[in-house]
Amino acid sequence: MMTDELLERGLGDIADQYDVPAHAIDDILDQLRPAVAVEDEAVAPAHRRWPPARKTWLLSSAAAVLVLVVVAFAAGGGGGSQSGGPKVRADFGGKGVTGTGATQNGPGQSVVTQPQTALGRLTAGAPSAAAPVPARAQTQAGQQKALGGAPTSTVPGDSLTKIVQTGELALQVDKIKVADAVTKLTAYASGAGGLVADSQTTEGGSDPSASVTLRVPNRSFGTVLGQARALGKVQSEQTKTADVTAQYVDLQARIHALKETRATYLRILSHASGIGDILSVQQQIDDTQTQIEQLQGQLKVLTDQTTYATLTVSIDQKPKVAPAAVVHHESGFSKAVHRSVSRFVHGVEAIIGAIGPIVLVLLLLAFGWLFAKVGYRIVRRQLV
Amino acid sequence: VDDLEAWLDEAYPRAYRTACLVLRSPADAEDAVQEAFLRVWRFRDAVPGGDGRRAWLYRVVVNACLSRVRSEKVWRARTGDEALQRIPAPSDPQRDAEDAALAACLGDALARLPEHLRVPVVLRYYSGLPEKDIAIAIQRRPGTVKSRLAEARRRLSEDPALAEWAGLEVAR
Repeated sequence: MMTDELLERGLGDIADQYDVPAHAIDDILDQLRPAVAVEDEAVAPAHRRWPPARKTWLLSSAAAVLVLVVVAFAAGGGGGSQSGGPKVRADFGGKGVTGTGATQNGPGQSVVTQPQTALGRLTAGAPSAAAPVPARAQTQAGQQKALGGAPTSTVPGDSLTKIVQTGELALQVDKIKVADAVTKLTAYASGAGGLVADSQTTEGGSDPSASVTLRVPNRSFGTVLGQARALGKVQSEQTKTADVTAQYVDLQARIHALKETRATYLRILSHASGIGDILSVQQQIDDTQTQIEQLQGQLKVLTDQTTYATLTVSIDQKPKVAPAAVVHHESGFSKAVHRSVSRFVHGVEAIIGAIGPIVLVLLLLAFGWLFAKVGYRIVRRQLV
Repeated sequence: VDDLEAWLDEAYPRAYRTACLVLRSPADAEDAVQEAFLRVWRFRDAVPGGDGRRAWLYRVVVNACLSRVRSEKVWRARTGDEALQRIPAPSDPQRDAEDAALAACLGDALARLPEHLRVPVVLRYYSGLPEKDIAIAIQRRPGTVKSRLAEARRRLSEDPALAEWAGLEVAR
């Protein structure tokens, strides 16, 4: 039976037979000294914070100039558009005035305008005026009708600001058919560089309808909305604008940080030699990669939403107005008068209706008499 | 570096001999332990303090040894017992003969143990690590360590040469 004591003694005996190499520790230290020296050199400049090196000066100056240019560009662009007033090209039809819609400033928000004309209609493709925008704007059709305007919105080409625009529009068409309205909406979306994401049409019957979801570039959202609105009578309208710049930047930062982490793990992996270490680091790399791909997926969706606005248009056919049945609530005398008149009319109608056959009979008799008379004369001449 | 030098002086001999028992090759053991200490230096910020430091060191040493065993097949390549061939001449004939016999039997029996049993035995009965530290070193749960040690003892007891020697020893 192997006891713990025997095992310890036996293993000790075996181990004692291995002489510890005298130079081993020195070898390890010799290998470490260059690494320590390199680390010392690397650490030393880090403590030299002032005065900075020439390279640091150059980088700092370049960064400062870049920031100034960006700030000046941003400030100049925003001021110009505001001082210039609303740049709206409107077809006023010779009358009417324009007015800018309610505006509100918000940090990091895009510039959207809601010009409202009394009788005007924004021409297709006309750029909207630059004005600050509320992050979330809702417009009701009734308000639009009261104002008589057709709001439009555009997002400027500010690559730093990410806006998600969505809209819902309910239309009732009268002069054209539902299918034609869907065709026109498709054409509007295609013309603006967008597409039809979803389309459902119910034709036939007495109540044709359709629902079309358009994805159009953000800059063309207002234009397409105006075109869609012109197809029929607006029953309801709702537009929403959401600023997702912070979310976008956060996603980018997290992806960047995770990529840095992955790079670090890869460096560690290149130095690992044990199977356990390699598997452990590889697991970390896999986890990090999964997180990166998830965030990249979210970023892709967000980018798609900020590039293309979504407009859902519901279309109904205006129903044919059927003559309403007149309900009379009359007295007995009045009823008698109406009945009398009605019977008189019916009598006249009956007489007129009877005249036709009578005339026909008279005509037949006239023709018969004429034939008889002519026949009699012919027969009499032959007899004479 | 000074701390590492002090630690080397204290821990290197036992770590080296542990590696020798696992690898049964002084040259490979020296390389493995050197690699382990260099790795310790590289990740010195992650080294725990106190008692955990020893378990952490043996974890790195065992990893370095097993890495060599698995990647270079040194264990399988070295069928001859290089260590036993280097046994110094005995000074006390009776005692040394007994020790040499035990070492020879145990060495052969140890060589027949698979790695997952041999490493816990070496760490427990030579390096003197408690089971919880062995668990840290081989990255397994303490229950697994306990069962592996029991299995290793059972196999060693069933080893014919070792059983014969142990029986004689007990009889004496």
